[in-house]
Amino acid sequence: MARLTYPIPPPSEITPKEVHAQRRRFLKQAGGLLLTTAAPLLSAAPAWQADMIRAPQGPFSTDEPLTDPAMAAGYNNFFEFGTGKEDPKRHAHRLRTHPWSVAIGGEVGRPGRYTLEDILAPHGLEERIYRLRCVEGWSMVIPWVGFPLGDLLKRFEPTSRAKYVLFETLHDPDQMPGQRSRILDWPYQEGLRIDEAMHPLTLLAVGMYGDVMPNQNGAPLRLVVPWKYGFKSIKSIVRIHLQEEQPVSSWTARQPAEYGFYANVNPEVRHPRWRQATERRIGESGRRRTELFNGYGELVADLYAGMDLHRHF
Amino acid sequence: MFIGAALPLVWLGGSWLAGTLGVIPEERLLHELGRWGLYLLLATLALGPAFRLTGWPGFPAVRRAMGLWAFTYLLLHVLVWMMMIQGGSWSFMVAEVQELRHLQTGLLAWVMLVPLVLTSVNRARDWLGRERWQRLHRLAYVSAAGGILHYWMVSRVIETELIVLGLIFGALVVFRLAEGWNFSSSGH
Repeated sequence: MARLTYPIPPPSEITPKEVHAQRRRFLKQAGGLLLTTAAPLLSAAPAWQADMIRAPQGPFSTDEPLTDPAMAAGYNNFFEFGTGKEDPKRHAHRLRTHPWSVAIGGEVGRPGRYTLEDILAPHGLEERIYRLRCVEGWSMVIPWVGFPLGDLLKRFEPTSRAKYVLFETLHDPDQMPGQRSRILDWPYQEGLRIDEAMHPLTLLAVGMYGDVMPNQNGAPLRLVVPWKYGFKSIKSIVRIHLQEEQPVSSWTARQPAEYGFYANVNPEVRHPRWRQATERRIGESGRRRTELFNGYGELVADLYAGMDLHRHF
Repeated sequence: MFIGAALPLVWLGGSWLAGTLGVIPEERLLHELGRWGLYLLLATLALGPAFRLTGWPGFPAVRRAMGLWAFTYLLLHVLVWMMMIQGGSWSFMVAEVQELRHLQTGLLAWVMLVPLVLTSVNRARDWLGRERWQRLHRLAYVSAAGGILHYWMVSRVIETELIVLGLIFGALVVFRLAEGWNFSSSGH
């Protein structure tokens, strides 16, 4: 096996902690300023959007430097708006995120179609700074604004037969022109095992960088599962279905040999198109070593105790 | 021809300097160089049939230059991958090539073009003899097939462009085979 060396950035290239803290402080102050000056204007927007700026820091956040927000909102995989990395930014303005509703059904005590406002009402929003690792070998650090998916699922009273959760993206080729080509079986579907869905790391996000979610990042409601490859974190969700059978993810349906159901970040499991041992952190030059479970192993490894991760990739 | 072949390169260079190649400019540069290299390689292969169909001597006259342009784009494609995408690190490059089939395919398809470039001068053709030279230069078809295969392997989904390139290549091969058959049946 080849022995690898990894370029270690000189200390001068690493953002000093003080500067980083300064940036965070600046963002907070800017946020506060924005709130006081713009609050009257915001009154027309739903209350949860105004809450976002005030969202307190939640647990599990990393203190790594944040990815430039323009890059996080300008370099996306969202095939509903085209296959190029910059297509989503160009075309996502066609998506109408208001009004929005989500059908919650299957093995739950209170199935039904709920408006986004109903869904968000009882949940306090918080900020979580997570690493995002794409299966294509790049990564970002993004401050999401959202709440734990588990809190939402509990509200709708899952039955004992709820073993998995299926998620579905909006299907409307008028708003999502990429759906006119049959590159994937639309609508996009993803799934989690119930214990993964209930894990406190798993988020439903409605914003990032203290602001409303840009359409190209999956507005108005998206999943964030930071220890799995990014394609698991489905965007613009309109359906959440609890069920006994394991759902089939859209990418698994397309290429079962390449994309597994679990899709846990794992430098040891090979992918034919991209080498998973290393990744490029967007905004940095060179590559860094990829961590098992994207560095969240301490929190999530127990979910997979005794499982052969090479077989269940 | 010179202007047509140089234009994408000028555009890429200008966009690179202007910073308009997007969030990760080297990735865009890599893809565009590979894409235009493949276009030019297929265009070079199409010059023969174009001449046979029209009889215009302008087509074969630019064949060598166009082939060299194709190679230049693909050389830059390889260099951008080595120096920018892999950061010039040999251990990274070796590990990637060892693991990924699409890199092996692409590299092989590119290496095949090297002997064609080296024997592109008239002296080399005289030295090899016309028949041997022609047989050697049929490698360009294998290389183009490898290039399309490489493109297919790096694609996450099958896009129209890939299908069109495949069809063009298929048509070129069919033309070539039919022509060969005609020649042999006419006792050439």
